[in-house]
Amino acid sequence: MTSAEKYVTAAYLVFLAVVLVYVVIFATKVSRLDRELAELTALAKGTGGRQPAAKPPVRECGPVEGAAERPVREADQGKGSGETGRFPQLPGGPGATSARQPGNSPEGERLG
Amino acid sequence: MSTWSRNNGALALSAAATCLLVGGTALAFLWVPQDADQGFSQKIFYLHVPVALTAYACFAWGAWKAWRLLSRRQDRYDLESYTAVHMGIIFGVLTLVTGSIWAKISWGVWWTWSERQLVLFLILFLFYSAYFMLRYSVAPGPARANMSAVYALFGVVLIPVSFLAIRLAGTLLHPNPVINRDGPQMSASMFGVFCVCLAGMLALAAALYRTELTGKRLDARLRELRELLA
Repeated sequence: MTSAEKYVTAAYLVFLAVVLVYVVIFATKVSRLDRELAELTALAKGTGGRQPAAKPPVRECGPVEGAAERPVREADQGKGSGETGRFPQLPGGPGATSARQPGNSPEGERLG
Repeated sequence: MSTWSRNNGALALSAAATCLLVGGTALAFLWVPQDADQGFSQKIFYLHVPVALTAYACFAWGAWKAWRLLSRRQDRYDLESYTAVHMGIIFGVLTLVTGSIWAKISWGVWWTWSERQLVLFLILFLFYSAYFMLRYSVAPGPARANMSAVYALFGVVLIPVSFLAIRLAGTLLHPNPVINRDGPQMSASMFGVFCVCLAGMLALAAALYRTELTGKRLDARLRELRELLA
């Protein structure tokens, strides 16, 4: 094999190698896309193919729903949320009736 | 675009490219007579010149798509222009490598800076290589698409300069052009096989372009879908 033949063969082999490298790179890309598609399919099946459910609206103010049904310790009935005893609970809130009684009110305790 | 063309276009182009390139190479080695001046080393002509012309065609196609983006304002042309430049870079690398091998056989050196054709092609190649640096230095969006399109359009000016440099080279080292005012500068058999190889190379570039474009579109759609489902 002469020198010219070697170089010409090398040139054609380089061309072939570049095309093959491109095919390998693209095959890798296709397999990645396939994997991502499988993940997205699983994700879509998990949500029933719909958009995820919207978050419940945040209540701006007022008593906590269901708080009235919660039991309150007798010792805490005159205290506010900070449990300092300085702020009586809102009227209508848990323990509101007992908070207005003179014996249970902090102010009542001091005045009395 | 018809459904058949959309689904099987790349496949048909790949088949055509394979047949033309294998057939052309076989004819170049087995049928075409050896060149009187260069001997066997001239066989690299059937690879190097079609690859170089295909690189020019890819860059020109990218510039055309860039022009369409700027005139029509449709996002899809941005991806098409980018893909065409991407293909041009691949064929540009092949042009430089095969050209260097041919230079080593014929001139005894891998590269010479005194050759206008070589240097101009290198400038063209480096210009379009910088296209990627520009593109990925800007956040995705209309600004990036417009900048990339303008850059690709500027680069197209270098194509005729590089293409005509071989005709302006005069007495320098690079071989004569394939065709001049008197017609093909080779025998009919050589020119026929050259045309077969050129057609095969263009078909290969078109097949790679369509495949790459489909992959990039699929990638973008999957990204959108992921954002929607997240």
